[in-house]
Amino acid sequence: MTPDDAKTREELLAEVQALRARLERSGGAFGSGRGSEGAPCLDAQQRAFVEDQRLVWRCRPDGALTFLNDAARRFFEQEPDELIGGSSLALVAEPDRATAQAHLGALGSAKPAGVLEHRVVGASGARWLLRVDQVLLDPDGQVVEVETVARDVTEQHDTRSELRLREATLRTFFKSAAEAIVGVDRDGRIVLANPQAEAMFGHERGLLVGQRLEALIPDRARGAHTRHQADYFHEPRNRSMGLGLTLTGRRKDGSEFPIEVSLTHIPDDSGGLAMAFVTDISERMARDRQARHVEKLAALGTLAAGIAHELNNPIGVIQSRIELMLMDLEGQEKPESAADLHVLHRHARRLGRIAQGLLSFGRERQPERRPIDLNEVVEDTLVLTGKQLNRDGIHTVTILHDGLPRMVGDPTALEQVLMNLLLNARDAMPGGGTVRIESALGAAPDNIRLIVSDTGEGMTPEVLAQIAQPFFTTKSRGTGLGLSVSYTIIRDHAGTVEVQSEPDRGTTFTITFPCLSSPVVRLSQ
Amino acid sequence: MGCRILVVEDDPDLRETLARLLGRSGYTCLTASSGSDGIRAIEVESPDLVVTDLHMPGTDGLAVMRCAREQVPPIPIVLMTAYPTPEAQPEVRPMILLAKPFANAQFLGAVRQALGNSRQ
Repeated sequence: MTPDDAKTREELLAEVQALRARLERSGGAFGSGRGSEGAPCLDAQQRAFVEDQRLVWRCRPDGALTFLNDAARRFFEQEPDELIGGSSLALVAEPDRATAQAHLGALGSAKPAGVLEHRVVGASGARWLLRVDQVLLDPDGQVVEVETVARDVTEQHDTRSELRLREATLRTFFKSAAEAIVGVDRDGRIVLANPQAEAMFGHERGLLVGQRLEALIPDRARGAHTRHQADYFHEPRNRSMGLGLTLTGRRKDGSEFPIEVSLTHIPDDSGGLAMAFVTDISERMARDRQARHVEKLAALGTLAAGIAHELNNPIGVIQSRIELMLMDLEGQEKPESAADLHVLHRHARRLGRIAQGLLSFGRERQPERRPIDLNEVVEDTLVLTGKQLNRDGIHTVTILHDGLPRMVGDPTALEQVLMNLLLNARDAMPGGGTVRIESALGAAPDNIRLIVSDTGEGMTPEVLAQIAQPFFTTKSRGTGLGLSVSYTIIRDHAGTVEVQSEPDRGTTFTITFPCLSSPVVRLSQ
Repeated sequence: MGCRILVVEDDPDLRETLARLLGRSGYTCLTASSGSDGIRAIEVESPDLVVTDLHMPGTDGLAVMRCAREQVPPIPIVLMTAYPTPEAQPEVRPMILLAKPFANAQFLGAVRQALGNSRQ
């Protein structure tokens, strides 16, 4: 209860009425006509005002309630007798009372009105009220009464909370989305850009917004894009941009990369926003390229197998006939003919090996493990690639160690390794040059070496450090797989690789294998 | 040895070479230039061994092989192919798979092995 407990309620009412009467005579703040209980003649408008859904109550400066309208009574579900005289603060829900008290305390002649939102506990539980408090002043500027008009704004409040939550959620999503998101207005200006978009296009944080969308597109694509943009805003719908086309994005440093874009339109009062979700598809395109390359290899393999098959028959006839002829010559003194036939036979066998190599190309097969002559591998590889290297202006110098100890392995796989190195050497010498292929004894006993060196553009230490990685390539058409496969093959043969390279000086690959007699080989079998 | 060997091969040069080689080694050689001729020859002549190419136009070596196997007793087979494929390894005994091109000595070895197997 308030400090004025002593006074009866009736005395308080009488006091207020007297004050009102005084005010009405002197034209007080609230004007005429409004009254508390028992006051004469509310006009229709005022009655409506008081009796509508708005809650109205009044209290004295110390907070003692003097009046509540019907709506307020219904809202708080209490008899007026119980409320009148009580503190208006009792109407406020407890957590908000301190704020309400401060708010009311601040009202006075300098600040005759104020607005506050707070919770109350009404008939149907906790609700949010929006209240306007106005003070009634006496001629001396003292507060005589405070009138409060309040509305239940629970729904709007909840909506606002929900809106805030949704905004916060959207903002989080926008910031943390994996894709780059750019929002553009119909004038083509970027109004939204998330951190992924800034990073993808190489712009500093916060500096992409405000720029024109053209900044993200290569010059040559701008004309078409402006038209598309106009079309889109004219008839906006959610879709993928440029279906089937390769779109290109442009970074701040001018570099370009392939992208996929899907568009969503967000309407607003000024033509709406086009939201673009951008994905960098460079990696996917590289993988597709690689898959196509593998398919091409497979097709080539099938073709090669077909050719080999066709070759094997005539090679067989030649070989067998020569052997028959050699049998016929037995006992006859025709050493030159016999020698000639032996030469022919040797070449027929070589043709057979080549056909065998073609058959193995591109075919999934179990790698062989048998004693092989590295020199023969070199010779056979040059048979396959020699002509092509010549055409590309590459001169090959071959120095093979006579009597090179044999090693264990798969000749076809090693041919693949050598071919890969030779083709890389060719690519390093676009204007032609020399490749040197050497077989030699290893530095350590029981080892042999294969050395392939070129006089080409060489590699920087940074590039050198990465050449064995799959998918690493410095060539625009490269798949980046050749060397990594070669390294795997070398490893499978218990071999090691050493690379020396200097820009503009050339590159040398030194591959070391254990030979047949090496304990390493015997252990691994 | 007196063994009669049927050579089924569509390439005439290879056919002739093998015939000469077999003749020189003491075998009697019969030849067929196609799969269907080969099957007829098997049924009519009952050779001791069939040497057949795998890939031939029309009836292929597998059909020839099946026919040889169905004879009573089954006739041993040497199958020649320029391209040893996985499917050319059916469960047939006795059968030797010979990859082209081969040395004459290899061929004779295969013939001897096939004849030897069938005698077990």
